[in-house]
Amino acid sequence: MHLQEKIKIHLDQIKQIKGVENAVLTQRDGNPIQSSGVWFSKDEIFNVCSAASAIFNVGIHLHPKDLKYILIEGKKAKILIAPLNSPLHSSLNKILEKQMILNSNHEFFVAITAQPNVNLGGIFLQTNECLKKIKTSLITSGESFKPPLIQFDNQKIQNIINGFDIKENEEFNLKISSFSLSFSENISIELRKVLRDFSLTIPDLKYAFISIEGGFVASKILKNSRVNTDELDNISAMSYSVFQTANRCSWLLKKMHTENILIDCDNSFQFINGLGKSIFSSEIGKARQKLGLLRLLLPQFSKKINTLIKKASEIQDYRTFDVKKLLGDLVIK
Amino acid sequence: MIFDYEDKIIQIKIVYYGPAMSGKTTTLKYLFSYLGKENKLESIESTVGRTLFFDFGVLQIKGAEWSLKFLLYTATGQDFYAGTRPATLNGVDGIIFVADAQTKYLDQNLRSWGELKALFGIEVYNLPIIIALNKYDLENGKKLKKEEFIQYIDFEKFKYISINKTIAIKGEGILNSFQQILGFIFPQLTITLNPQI
Repeated sequence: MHLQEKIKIHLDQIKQIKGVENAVLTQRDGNPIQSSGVWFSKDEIFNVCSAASAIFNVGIHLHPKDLKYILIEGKKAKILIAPLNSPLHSSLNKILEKQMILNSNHEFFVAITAQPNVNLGGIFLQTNECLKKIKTSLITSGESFKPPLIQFDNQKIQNIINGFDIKENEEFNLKISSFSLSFSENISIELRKVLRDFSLTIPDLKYAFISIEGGFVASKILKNSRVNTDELDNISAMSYSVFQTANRCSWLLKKMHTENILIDCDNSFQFINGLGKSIFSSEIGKARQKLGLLRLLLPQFSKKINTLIKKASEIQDYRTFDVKKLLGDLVIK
Repeated sequence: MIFDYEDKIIQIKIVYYGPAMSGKTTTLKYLFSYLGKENKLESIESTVGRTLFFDFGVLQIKGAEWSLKFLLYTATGQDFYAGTRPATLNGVDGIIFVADAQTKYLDQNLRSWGELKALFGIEVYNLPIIIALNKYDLENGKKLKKEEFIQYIDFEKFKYISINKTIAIKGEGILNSFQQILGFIFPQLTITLNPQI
């Protein structure tokens, strides 16, 4: 049996789980390999797979050793992105490592879309075996499925998506813009107070930050000496971009906005909560924390932060900003 | 751009944008290397070393009373990841459009330019933009002249725009473009770039 047929059988098994709508296996660079379920257009396949690939690559960049899955949640659906090289398959990984056919690179991932009320625990348990089988088939086949660079011609697109079911649909557009916002001292102090309260409520907090449109850190709290301000800038840029891309992915798939993202790792949870065009993100150690409780607490803080950001947007300081006086002549060293 | 009165920091975002293989990542790498901060640059790249999502780094300068912080990004040039470009461009304060100066790549340059205009709509005319005609050192084939490239875009409609020749791999024109974009964003400031000794 051809490799892609084998994979299709396993993906179809995942799709049969109650609440699952679509499952697509993708190479790390975003090349769609096989899927179950129906797609709306050819563009949708590539847009979703490249967006999912960007999200996945940021996930493994931020959490290279212990990423378990990325969960994107909106009102109409949940999108689950899981590496095939999951730490959950530890015994299989050991066997493959002994045979020297598994390396630590995350070469493939599965993106699953499901209804919003689906039991994710159930999906994990039931897909685990399917993912193991797909992984074994892929790794032993030696196929790399890397995408062509720069651009696709129509023939290449047809070849790649040959086995996908497609239903044509309308175009979409997400417009972008530049942005300017000033945070008064009072708003900044209030934001910091909310983050301080958050750190007191959540004992194993590593860091929390608020990023405004564009990825600018508006406020932060660092509780872990291994993360410094520079690293937090990087985490903020990546988290913000991931949220924006997830939003696009959600729109493409379900015409919904992303509300929050959970990046589940072996030792910690990273949450990215959407606040309109801003985000509130935090990483929390798992030692003493229950996911359910955290998911109850986070919206309360998100709401407070959102109110303050809205206030900042309303009370803009229209004084003439004398940049020359404040910054002087600058020398970048 | 955000003004943070408590920490006394102004943050601005600059994105290097342009077609695939035009030299965006090389340009940003040169800038960071010149300032002795090459290890501060992060990249989300594909398994074959092309920019998959973006490259990102932060530069910060202490001013008289406040600090100025630059968030510097490159957008992916690979068409396969075109869907991720809006996320990188969101909230941008200035764009350095890195074009490939070789005449044979004119269509790719114009396609990328057209995409940028489509993403921003009419707001694009208010954005500070520097066009960097890169790879001017390549001896094979004809090169695009500044005046020639300008003919293909509605140059006069832009409020803040300039065009430079650059050779990213040698660092020629890179600092000049960076200073020019800062000059467009903050016309009142005098900004000098000095490498770390």
